[in-house]
Amino acid sequence: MPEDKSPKYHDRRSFIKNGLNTTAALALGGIAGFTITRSTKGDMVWQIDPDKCIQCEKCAINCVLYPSAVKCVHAYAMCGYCKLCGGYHQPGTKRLDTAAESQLCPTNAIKRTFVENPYFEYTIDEKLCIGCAKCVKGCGSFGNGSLFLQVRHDICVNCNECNIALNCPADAWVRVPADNPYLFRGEVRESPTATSESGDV
Amino acid sequence: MNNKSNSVKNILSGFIIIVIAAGLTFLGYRSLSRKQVTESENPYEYNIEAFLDIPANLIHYSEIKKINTGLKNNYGIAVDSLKQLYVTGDSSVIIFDAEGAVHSSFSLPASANCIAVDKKFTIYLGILNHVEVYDFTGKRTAGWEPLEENSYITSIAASPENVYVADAGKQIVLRYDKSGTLLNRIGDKDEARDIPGFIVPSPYFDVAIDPDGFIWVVNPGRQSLENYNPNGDLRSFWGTASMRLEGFSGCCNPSHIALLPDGSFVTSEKGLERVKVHNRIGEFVSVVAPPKLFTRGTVGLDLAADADGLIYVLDPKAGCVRIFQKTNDRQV
Repeated sequence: MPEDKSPKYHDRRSFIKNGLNTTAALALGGIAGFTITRSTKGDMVWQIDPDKCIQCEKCAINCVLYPSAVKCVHAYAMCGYCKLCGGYHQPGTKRLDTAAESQLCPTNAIKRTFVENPYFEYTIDEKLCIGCAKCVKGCGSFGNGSLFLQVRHDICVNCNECNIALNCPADAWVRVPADNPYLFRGEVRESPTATSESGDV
Repeated sequence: MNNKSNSVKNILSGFIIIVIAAGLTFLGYRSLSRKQVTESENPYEYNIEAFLDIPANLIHYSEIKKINTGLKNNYGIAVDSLKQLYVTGDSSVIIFDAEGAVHSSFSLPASANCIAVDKKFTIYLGILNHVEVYDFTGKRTAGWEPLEENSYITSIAASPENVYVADAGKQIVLRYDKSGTLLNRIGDKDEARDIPGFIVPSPYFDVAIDPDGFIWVVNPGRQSLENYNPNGDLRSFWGTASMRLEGFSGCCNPSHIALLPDGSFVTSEKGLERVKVHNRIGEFVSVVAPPKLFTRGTVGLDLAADADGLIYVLDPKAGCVRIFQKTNDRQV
């Protein structure tokens, strides 16, 4: 196959995607930094293993906070930016628009923005997200699984015995180091620090 | 007078007490039944139950045979002109005869994602980013030059003259001659030629050749099928995004297609696992396999069809190939 010698360029979509990834990374990095200042080295905190999560809604109703400290997170690099989004649209919706009856999210926490035909960007409004995982299930069933749940450690009060972890039917709540407290979809994590122990914080 | 007034008061008091008691009983019952609902149901359930049940009168096919492949991971199937079935998975290819018995098998250097067989029984396999060619006896006859970086071959279709390779990584179909020489690209976005470009959000990107020799390519991000000339001109397209039977569900479906001898389309989907037949102009005709036939979460329902119109469906989770025959000519 002949080598492609055309100059590399960034189209609008990849520019936006890269920008969003950077923003998300900076935001989560900031939160991680905030968390580190509240913890000392060796501390462990709770997190959800996205690969074990079964989207059962327990995270929405068992957290001691309301709304829950569990929020939906979007891995933009995995997203297909689809017009018909399994995580955004109600199953069987007649119109692919932003009308309330077309939306899956019970709290209108996902914003849908037109990028360019036929791509749409989906962002989570964390203030509205209750961590019910309805969108996570839809995205995982029909899409790439770019939506997943995470405990936001700028919100979590770090209960000694997390009430959601006690009620998780999938053993998806694991202990992770406080200085690296997020488990991202598609991320290769070196050491298996995530364990399902129900130990101390 | 006083006696009469007292008796009216008593009746009123009794009536009010009865109304209050009935109200309290009703509220108590309601709160108890609400609690039961809350404990037993997930209020945030992602519910697609309504789409899992298919009315029996819409299923015009019945499963007549199930061939267990014996493979742990099943990736692709193909059927030749003698109705021999080829299955690839676990770094090997197994050939079953028309009766479903194992004819032969051979090993591959790595797992092949897809397989195609031409009329001369030459076997083309897509292994990650390159094509390997084998003869019917399992002898490797050629290995084509790897595609670009990040290429990922998900489907191959072989006509008497050409081999079409679907590259999900680069979202393009490549047309080769039988010796592996690249002839042209199909599907590059080109507004002047009214070619929309392929959108492939996930690694399911299928190609098939119709009885007239034209190539059909799934444009999964648009939930449509597009028909191209060998030189890459767009001839037609059809498809609707919908969970209802007339359309294709989710962000990227159909995941696989096959062509019947009369030019009808067989399609399979992921997310809402179902196999359907659409006629030559894309109208829904029949369900072949309803969602409830498959384990929830099954993906990779590769398809093939033989000259008699039998439909072969790879069921990777069950580790088998299901064969369906038309049993009902009722039209919807």
